[in-house]
Amino acid sequence: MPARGKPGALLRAALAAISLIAAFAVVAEDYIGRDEFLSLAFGDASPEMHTLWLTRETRADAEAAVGWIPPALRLRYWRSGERTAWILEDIGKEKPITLGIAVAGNRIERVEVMAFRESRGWEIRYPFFTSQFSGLSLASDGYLSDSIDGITGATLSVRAVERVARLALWLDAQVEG
Amino acid sequence: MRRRPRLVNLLWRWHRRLGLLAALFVLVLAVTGVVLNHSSGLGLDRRFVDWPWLNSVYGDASGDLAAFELEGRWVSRAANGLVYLDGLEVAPCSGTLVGAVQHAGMFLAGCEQELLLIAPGGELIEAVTASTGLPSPLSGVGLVGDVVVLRNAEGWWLADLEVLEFRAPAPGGSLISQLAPDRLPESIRNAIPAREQWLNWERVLLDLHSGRIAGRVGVLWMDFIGVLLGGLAMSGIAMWWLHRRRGRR
Repeated sequence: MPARGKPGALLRAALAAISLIAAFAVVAEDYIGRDEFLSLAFGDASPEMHTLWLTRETRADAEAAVGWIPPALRLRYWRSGERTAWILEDIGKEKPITLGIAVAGNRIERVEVMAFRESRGWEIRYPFFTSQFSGLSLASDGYLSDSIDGITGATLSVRAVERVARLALWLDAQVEG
Repeated sequence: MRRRPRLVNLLWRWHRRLGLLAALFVLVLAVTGVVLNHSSGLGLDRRFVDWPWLNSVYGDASGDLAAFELEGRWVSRAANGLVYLDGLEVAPCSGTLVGAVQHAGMFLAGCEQELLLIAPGGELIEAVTASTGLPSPLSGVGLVGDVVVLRNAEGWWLADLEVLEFRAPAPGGSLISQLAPDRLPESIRNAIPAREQWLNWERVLLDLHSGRIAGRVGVLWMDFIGVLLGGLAMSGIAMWWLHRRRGRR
């Protein structure tokens, strides 16, 4: 009777799938939209949107400098004066986290979690965590100029924010340079 | 002497009403129960569901592998959540694939939460999401002349993908051309990850039997039907007992 064991496994698979969908439905959240982020980043100034094409060389440079680069061939950023703002995504554990990062004078001014889709680690959206990035720059080794205090249970999300922050600083340097 | 006939009448009246209400569900329980008793013999635990609407009830909407043909190229979203251009893996795309168009030398794949701009070589040019202004969740992608149009719950939006601006069209309306989803050719279907087959008919019957197929409400409803059947059994016994006592007198 080999088929006897199968319903149990299938039941578990079905329940796991349904739980996963339910979990996703519950936790997927958009906190702020593009316009709200740009307003936070630039205040009353009106930033212009620009496009940065990621050539093969640029991608290789980013990989060497900060260790990763999104798969898309072009990225959008907004600029007003020396301030730039970037909307970037990285995977925490399984789902992408959307982050808005404002950079001025080679230093991070603001980090905002715009959308969070993972089931755990949403605590990264709060200022007690994001404010740690303010004033940080990119060190010569490709890491941030100061360490970031993590959050228990949100290690992967914290790492994702650090990666994106490093990339935003590197990208800002490219468009500044 | 008058209380007993009244009680019997009351019991009888409600027994009939509740019995009628429960009848349909008793039939469902009986049929699914009998079939489930023989599910192994009937091979229901080895036969997988291939009804797109039923797969989608279980959150597995990939069974139909909706695909769009654009001048001989096929845009599809596979079971692993990735969008493919023919057999080329492009990128993950959030939500069901709702439409695709060809525009300015690119292929545009619209999923519910994301719009992918794809180069002819299969490279991802850009992923536009709600965070970069996409009017989501998308329910359609089309063209009005050379302009890309996107639909969400509020209606159609004219999309300028160079500057990521989405604005409502002027009243009056123009002809929107949309592609209907088509069935992916076998050659491409075999080249990309197929739907993971886990939903069998035994699972569906079990969920029909328990009410779980309708989610939490369905389970509570079947609980209610269970209590109702218990009530019917008790009212039946009470009527039989009262009738018997009357007969003895």
